Amino acid sequence: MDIDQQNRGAQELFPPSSDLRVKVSAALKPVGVLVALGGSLDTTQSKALLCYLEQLVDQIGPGDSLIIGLDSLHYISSTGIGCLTHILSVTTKRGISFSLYGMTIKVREVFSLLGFLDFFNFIDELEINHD
Amino acid sequence: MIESKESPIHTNNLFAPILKCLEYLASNPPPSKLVAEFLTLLAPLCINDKVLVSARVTPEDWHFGANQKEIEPQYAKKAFQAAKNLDYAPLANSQAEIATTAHGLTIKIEDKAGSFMICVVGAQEDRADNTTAAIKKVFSILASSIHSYLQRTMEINKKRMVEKTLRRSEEQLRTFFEESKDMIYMSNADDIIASINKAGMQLLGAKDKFEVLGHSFSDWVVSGEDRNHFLQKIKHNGFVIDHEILLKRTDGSTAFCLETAQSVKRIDGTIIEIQGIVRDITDRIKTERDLWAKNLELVEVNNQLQTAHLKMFEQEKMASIGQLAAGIAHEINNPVGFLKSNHATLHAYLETLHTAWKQASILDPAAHRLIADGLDLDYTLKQIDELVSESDEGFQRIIAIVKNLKSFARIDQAEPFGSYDLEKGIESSLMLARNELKYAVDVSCEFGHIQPIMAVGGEINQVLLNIIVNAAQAISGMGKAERGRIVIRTIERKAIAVCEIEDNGPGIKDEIKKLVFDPFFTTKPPGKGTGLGLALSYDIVVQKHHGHLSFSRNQAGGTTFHIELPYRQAEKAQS
Repeated sequence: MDIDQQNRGAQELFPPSSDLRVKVSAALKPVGVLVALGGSLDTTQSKALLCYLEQLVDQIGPGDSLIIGLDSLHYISSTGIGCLTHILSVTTKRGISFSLYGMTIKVREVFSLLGFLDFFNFIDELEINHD
Repeated sequence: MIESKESPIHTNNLFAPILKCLEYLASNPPPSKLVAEFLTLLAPLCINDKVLVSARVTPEDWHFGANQKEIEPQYAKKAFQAAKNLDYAPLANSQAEIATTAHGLTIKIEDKAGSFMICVVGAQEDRADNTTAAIKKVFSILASSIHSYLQRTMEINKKRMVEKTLRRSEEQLRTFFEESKDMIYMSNADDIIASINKAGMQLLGAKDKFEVLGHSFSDWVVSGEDRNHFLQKIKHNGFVIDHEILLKRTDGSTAFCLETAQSVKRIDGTIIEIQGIVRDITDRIKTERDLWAKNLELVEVNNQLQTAHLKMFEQEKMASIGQLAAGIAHEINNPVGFLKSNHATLHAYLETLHTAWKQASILDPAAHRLIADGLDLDYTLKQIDELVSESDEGFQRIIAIVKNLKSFARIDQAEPFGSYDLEKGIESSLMLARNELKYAVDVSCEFGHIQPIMAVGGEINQVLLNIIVNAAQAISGMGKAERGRIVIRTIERKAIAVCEIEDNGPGIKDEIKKLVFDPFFTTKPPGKGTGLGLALSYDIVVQKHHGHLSFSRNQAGGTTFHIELPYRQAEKAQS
């Protein structure tokens, strides 16, 4: 996968002025693709993110990993959680490992209060290729 | 003489002032001031109830009456005919329709509330001239009063109309506000709640409005930070649509809500008020969550079905191959047995002949040399030795294949399940693979010091050896100057012992990934592999030990094999 191309696509969909920031990196451990989200994932942004992630998933092969980094995300709506759940469903169907990383306490609380916490796999350690 | 001719003049409170006035006028000649006052008294009555008020004035007498009927047609008709004869500006300016007749004068006043009419009727028909004079006289007296009255009446009327409209509008808004099923609130610039409806009270679980009013909205949200974010949006855009908030109720429970709000600002842009509508979507979220749970469950079950299907297919294939292998092993084993036996005997006989030939050379060296040179016997004997040696190797390979086939077909296997230390198994397998490893590969072990498992140790060792040797051969085959690397890890994962064997070899190409566990599939050069190693390993791990054997591409571009073995085996499996 061309990470630079993915980042250019994300930049077009989610410019710096947007409430949501998206950055794609190659993860070394676990091996796969990291999509780091920042800012605010509200109803409007969720729809765009869903389209973006669906396209991204198409380029990931079975057995590989897709990790969503949430450490810079300060707001998530139920639609945002719905978007991630949808991607979880798609990746599970395709045999792609899907995990969430670096969730803040506040965002975790929203997941928990909505009862979506148990659906996801969380990882504690992540090594990113900074090249 | 004073008379009240019409029916509404009874005990109705509205008519009380009129009656009082009529009584007064009955006993006292009516001076102009009293007439003016009287008309003033009549004013509200005329407006509110659209009462038709009539006053009859003659030079001799005054007649006043009030009714709710239309004025009699003959009066109106005559009044309009004579209208042009009377010049009465104040009333004309007051949007009144003034008409006079020979018998009297009619003033019709219209406004938005409807119309009412004052009818001033003069004397009898045969006294027309006097009547007109009398009317003019009366109106010259009443003019200013009627004019001001009319103006005031119209203003009051307008004001009342506006007030009524406002009242109705306010009632509608109040009903909308109070009866709305969504929470509606208003807060000031500091987000202090100033107003909240019943639905809002219910949503927050408050019994008294004062539990809410005067308190900050932030007191009712789970995350104050979210509220600040919301307020910033309001400040920036002037509105927020469908912002999700988590409210905390008085009983400590939470409600997931959707808020749409707007700000009311001064001209300079400072916020005066925030008006918001909050909808409880907790139930909707719950439904969505349940649906997602079912959806994910279905996906999982579907995946399991697919895996089971593949596994069944694989098992069927393996079973068929196993039967085939058993047949082949049996059929080959017997002829190979006597071929090997004959070969060994033949080899011994050849050794005898070889010895005899050497002894013959001692007895008659010249003849020996002559024969040897003539038949090129030295070369022939050397070739015989090589052929025998190659045949030996060939037999060994056939025997090894038959042995593997037997193993694959589970023939001659009697080793039972027992406690097996996987880490010790790895160490002993590494010892056996030492020759393959020592020239090209460094091996490091990262053991998780896992508990012993129930397994057939010899078979698991065979699996480990197969994979380690494969990795070493793959690395050697790359022909790299630097040494390769194999990392072996053991991990304890719930009820499963995991062994990962990671190499930095060339990796397995995508197009052959599906064939790797197939019997007789090999990428090694002819003579180097039977193609049964991984098929056998798969059979041992998956079929016999109910584990899982898979591989993946690692970051170094090589292959990582994952061997997952359950700690315990079902009794049936063990037997």
